[in-house]
Amino acid sequence: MTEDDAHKLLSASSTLNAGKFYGSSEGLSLGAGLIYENIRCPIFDIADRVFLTLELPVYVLTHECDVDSTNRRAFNDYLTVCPLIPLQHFLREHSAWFHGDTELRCFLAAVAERRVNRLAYLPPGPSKLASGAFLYLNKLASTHVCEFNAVKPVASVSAFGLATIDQIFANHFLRPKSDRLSFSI
Amino acid sequence: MNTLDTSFMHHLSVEPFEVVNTRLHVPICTSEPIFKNSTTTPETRPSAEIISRDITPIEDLILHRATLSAGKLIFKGRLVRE
Repeated sequence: MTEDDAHKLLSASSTLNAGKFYGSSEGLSLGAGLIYENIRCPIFDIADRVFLTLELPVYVLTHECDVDSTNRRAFNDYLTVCPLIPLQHFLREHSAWFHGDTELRCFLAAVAERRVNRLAYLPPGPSKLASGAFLYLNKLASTHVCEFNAVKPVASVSAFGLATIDQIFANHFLRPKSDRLSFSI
Repeated sequence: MNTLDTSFMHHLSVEPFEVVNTRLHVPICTSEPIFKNSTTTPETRPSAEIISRDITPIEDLILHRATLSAGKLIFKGRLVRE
C-alpha cells in the first residue's frame, strides 16, 4: 500500500477535522502540544532488554508551566514526551511482515475510527508528519529540557488538536479499572 | 530517677533556616486543575471506550520497529550485571 492510499483510507475512516488540527508554533514556549524532531529519549529494546538512546520525533505532553525556564525552582528539568511514528515508517515495517493489504486496511481503519485504545492517529502535518503519524500512548518517555535548548518545534497542534489529543489520553489513562479494588463502592 | 541535664543548652545557637518562597518567582501557572480535589470523584469522567480491536503481537512489534526506524540510534548500552 502506498502512503497516498493509506492516507486516503485513514482520512476516510477518521472523523478528525485535519484542517483544524495544526496551528502556528511561532511564539509558543516549550510545552504541551508542540512537536519536535531529533529529541533524545530512551526506548526499551525488547531483544536485549536494555534502553536505547534515540533521536526521535516527539509530541510534548508536559505543561509549559512545569518547564518554564524563567521560573527557577526544583523539579522543572524533565518532561514527558510521546514518540511519534510517522505513517511511512509504519507502512515500511508492515510491508516487511505482510504481503497483502487486507490486514493493513483493517488495522488503519480501526486506528482512524479510534477503536484501538493504545494508538492515536495524527493527520498529515509539516515535516515528518507529511503523511500523518501515530502516537503509541503506552510508549511515553522522559527526557531533559536541555534537549530542547537549541531546537525549534516543527509543528504545534491547534486548540482543537490539543483538545482532541487530551481527550484521547484521558480516555486511555483514566479508564475505570477492570479489577475490583479494595474499598470499591 | 534520671533527670535530663539541660545545662549545655545555653551554648547552642540556632541557625536561621529560610525556606525559599517559590511564590515570589513569576510567572505562576494559571491553568486550572482538572480535578480540584484528588479525593473526590472527577466531575467529568472520561467515557470508557468500547475496545473492539486490539493490537496483535506482530502489530506491536511492527510499531516498535517503526518507532526505531523513525529515529536515529545514538547509544545502545550494554548489560553490566545480570
